[in-house]
Amino acid sequence: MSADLPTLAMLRTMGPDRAAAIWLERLVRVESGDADPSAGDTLFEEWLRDDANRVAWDRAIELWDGLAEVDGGAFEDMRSDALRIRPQGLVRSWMPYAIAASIFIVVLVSLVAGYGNLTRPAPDARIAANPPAEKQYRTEVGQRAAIVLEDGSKVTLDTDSVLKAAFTSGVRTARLVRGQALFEVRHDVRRPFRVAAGDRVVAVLGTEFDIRVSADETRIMLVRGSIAVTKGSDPFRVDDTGAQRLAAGDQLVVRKGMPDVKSRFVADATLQWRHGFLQFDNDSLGAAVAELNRYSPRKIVLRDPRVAGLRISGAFPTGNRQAFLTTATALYPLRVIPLPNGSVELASKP
Amino acid sequence: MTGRGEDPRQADALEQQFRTARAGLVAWFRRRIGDPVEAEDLCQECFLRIGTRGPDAIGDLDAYFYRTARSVLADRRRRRAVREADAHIAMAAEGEPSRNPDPLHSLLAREQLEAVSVVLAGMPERTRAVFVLCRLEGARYAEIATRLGISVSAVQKHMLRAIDILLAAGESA
Repeated sequence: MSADLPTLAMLRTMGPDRAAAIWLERLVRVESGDADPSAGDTLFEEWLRDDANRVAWDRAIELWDGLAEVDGGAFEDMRSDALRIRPQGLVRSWMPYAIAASIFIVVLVSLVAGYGNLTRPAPDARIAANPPAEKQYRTEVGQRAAIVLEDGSKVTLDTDSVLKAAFTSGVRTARLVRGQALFEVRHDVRRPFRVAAGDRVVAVLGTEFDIRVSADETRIMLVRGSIAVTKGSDPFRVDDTGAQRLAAGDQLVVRKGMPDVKSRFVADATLQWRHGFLQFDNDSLGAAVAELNRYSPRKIVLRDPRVAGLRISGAFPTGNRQAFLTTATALYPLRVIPLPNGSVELASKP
Repeated sequence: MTGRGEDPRQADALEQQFRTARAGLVAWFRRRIGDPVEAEDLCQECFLRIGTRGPDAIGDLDAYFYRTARSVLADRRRRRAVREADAHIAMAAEGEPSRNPDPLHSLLAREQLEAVSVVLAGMPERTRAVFVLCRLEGARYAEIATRLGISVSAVQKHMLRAIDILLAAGESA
């Protein structure tokens, strides 16, 4: 990105502070890997030889580096405000079929079972006798992928997820075997779209929704529109009796051996993952770590239940374990203990 | 200089890690001070401080290295300020590393943080959001662009504007 570099003459005209701002913005890009680190070095060193420039630059760097370790509470409101801003033109770009469309999320979460259970595939016996050929899509741990299905519907697959889709002339079906997915379903009245996850089937006409699967909990969240959730695991054969209707903002939690629980949820926070963020709002450290661990093979381990019970708020990039650890250790007297396999334990200070 | 009788194998591992991180640290210093030779010196100072601290309870080593680097740089700034400010205040702080890098301790004084907070609050919403997402949430421009539904070059413009405003405010303060 050398094209955007100014000349020394230009830098002199704008004065030390404005020039320092330009150099700092460039440093930001270099350090995030977005700009060529070597371009402009000579110019920078030449500019820096001037004393007034050096003073301005030192102040700029002091400010920038100083903000690397601000404690958790500072700027809290600004952080949550910044994370709450919605994309401009969201409806246009994300929902071309906005009038008929609705958004729902189905989340299947393992709360009790260990991590190993997450990778257990759904038993084949649950699949209909003669299903059409299924197409499989998958992401590895830490990956996110955008998929366009054959009918033009879009799916965003979150980390460590497997989705199988099987379309016929009469019905579009998908099965989320594991993980989480956000669907933007093309409107087609003659071909209903159904998604199986755990032992529930979600039926939609045209919608955008998000599903997450694992062993013992199914969570279905509807962002916009209306959907019907039925018992069963075969999207080809749906028994409408006892179907649960969800309204926008509804969340249905299904756990084995427990009555279904319907509640409300906050769409903004829950959907952060598709932008590469996880948002927590006074969640337990245990729950937050379980979420973050889905995105990396290098886990954060909590052995002490008192540590797991601490509360945390904030938004964290899914690919950046360190941001989370820094916040947690700044908020609480915790230390990070490296483990041999690249994982770390978060423990209280001795 | 393994310090406090730590397990020598642990100290070796730390040294190994530091060697891996070294080039990155030198580049980090060089971006900040412009002088490649002094960048090497500061990196060496970093290593000495890490060596005297011992590898227990450190956590993510890279983060620890950069935390140390930030405090080495802050001390260099202090030394220079002292040198430039003349004799009488000078003696107390000269040459004395102010403290070990402490993860709980912010490098900016409380008043400075408050000043930054006030300036940020006065920025246009999106400019502030870009700065906050970038600096405080560690997001890259492309992620910010997606989140806010704007182009990457618009993110860059907001970022430049935010930095501009912050530096200008610091100047007049």
